[in-house]
Amino acid sequence: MDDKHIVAQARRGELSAFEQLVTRYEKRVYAIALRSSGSPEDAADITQEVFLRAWRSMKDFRGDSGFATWLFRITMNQCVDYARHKQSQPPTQPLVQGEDDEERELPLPDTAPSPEEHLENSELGRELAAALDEVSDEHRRIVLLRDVSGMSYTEIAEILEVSEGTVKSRLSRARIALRKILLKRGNLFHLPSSKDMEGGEEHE
Amino acid sequence: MNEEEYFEQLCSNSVDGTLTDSEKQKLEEHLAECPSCAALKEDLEQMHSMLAVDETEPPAGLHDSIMERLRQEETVRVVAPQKPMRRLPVFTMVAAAAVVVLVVLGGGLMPAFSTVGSGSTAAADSASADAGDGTADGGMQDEIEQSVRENADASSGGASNSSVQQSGTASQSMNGSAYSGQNDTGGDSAANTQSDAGIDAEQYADSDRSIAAPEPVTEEPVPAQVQTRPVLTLPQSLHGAHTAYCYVAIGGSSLPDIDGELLAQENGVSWFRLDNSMETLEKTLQTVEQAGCTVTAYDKVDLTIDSHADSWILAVVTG
Repeated sequence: MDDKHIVAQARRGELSAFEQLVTRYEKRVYAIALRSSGSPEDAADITQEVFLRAWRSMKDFRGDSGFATWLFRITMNQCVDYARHKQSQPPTQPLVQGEDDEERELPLPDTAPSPEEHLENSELGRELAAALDEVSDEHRRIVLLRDVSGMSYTEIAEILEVSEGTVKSRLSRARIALRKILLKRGNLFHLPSSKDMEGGEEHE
Repeated sequence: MNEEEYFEQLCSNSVDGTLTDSEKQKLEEHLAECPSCAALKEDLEQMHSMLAVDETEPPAGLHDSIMERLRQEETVRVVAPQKPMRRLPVFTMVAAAAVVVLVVLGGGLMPAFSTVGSGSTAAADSASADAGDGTADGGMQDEIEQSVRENADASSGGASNSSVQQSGTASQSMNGSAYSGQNDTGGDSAANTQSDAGIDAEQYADSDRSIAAPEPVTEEPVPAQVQTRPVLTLPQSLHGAHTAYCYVAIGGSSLPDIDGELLAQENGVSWFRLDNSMETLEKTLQTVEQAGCTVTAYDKVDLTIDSHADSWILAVVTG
């Protein structure tokens, strides 16, 4: 479980050691990137870029913070950069397109959800990514860290180099900002209070 | 923090399950009489479950494509010479300067040739990528240039051009001035092949091609075929072979002891097949470097680079 030994080897330039770190963290990095970008292709690009940057600057990694902390900091920056870059580009047609198009093919593995779920998920994913594009970079970061990747306040505080108190208050403000956007976009649904809430069922 | 913000934050914290018992109680009491906070809490919970992506599986090829990319980087590291090469004869400097001038001319005058020699990009790319570390490329450029001269005089445009470009950004300052802006940008785009440079990089990569492709260096026209084989000719038996990567070792006076299968030996080039493992790779590269060779990635068009291949190919050029 200990990264330290592997990290030390990777710092010496051993790619096989670094590969273990890739294996250990690629899913999480990808998940964050996917939620941030809303597109599997972009998420794969971001993930690749994150590890490339990490590998390039491995020798500068001091080990003051944990490797994961460091890596997720790179991930956050990459996600924000990517979103900013995307916003400054003329909008391009998403690769997954067509509302009635049955055959949406995404480069997802065999374990992917059924086509129906899949479709819903990718649509939801795009909606969430679009909403995240509207909040500030600061808010995007903290929502990605907490809600998307499920890190603790302590971990987030370390990654963002702020106090836990700041994490709590910033997170609260970020969520409220995001909620406002999701409500405006019609992505949140108030169910009658008697019903229990089932996430993801509300989409038409 | 006013009361409203306080309860908003409690709602937010409650989603994360981090409320203390007393906070929990306070919040419950508040929610009973504040529908707007109750709605907020519901929404935040809904958002939290929407945003969570624990179950996401990355696409099947992601790991391999990451590692492939990193191996390209690794090549750059391996290739950068440990210490500056021992000599840099005036001859080479003059030759490099000559190439610089002619390349600039050629790039400007002969864009129409860009299609002719597109095959030589592999060599140009790998040569420039190799120099990308910017430590002491002079030596390697030197070697490449010499072997180019020895093996196929006409083809120097491809390989030496791009290494000269690189050296402009590195230690060979004399080339830098001759090159000015185009050199830097071209070098950058070659070194960061797939990074942020985006469109610019592609443009410059193209211009690299058109520079590398024509043969402005030589006065007499040269058949395009020669240009696409700047240094080595792949043995017939290796055409289309799958290999994890291919390296060329140049500069040793005698053949080092390579722990691999000798596939072919022709025109002073020995072709080996080796197991695809990091240990073998590191050990072998060390061996050839100790034997005085400079190792460079060889992105040969007739080989299929395949990260899943169980072997890789090493070409050793002996004098």
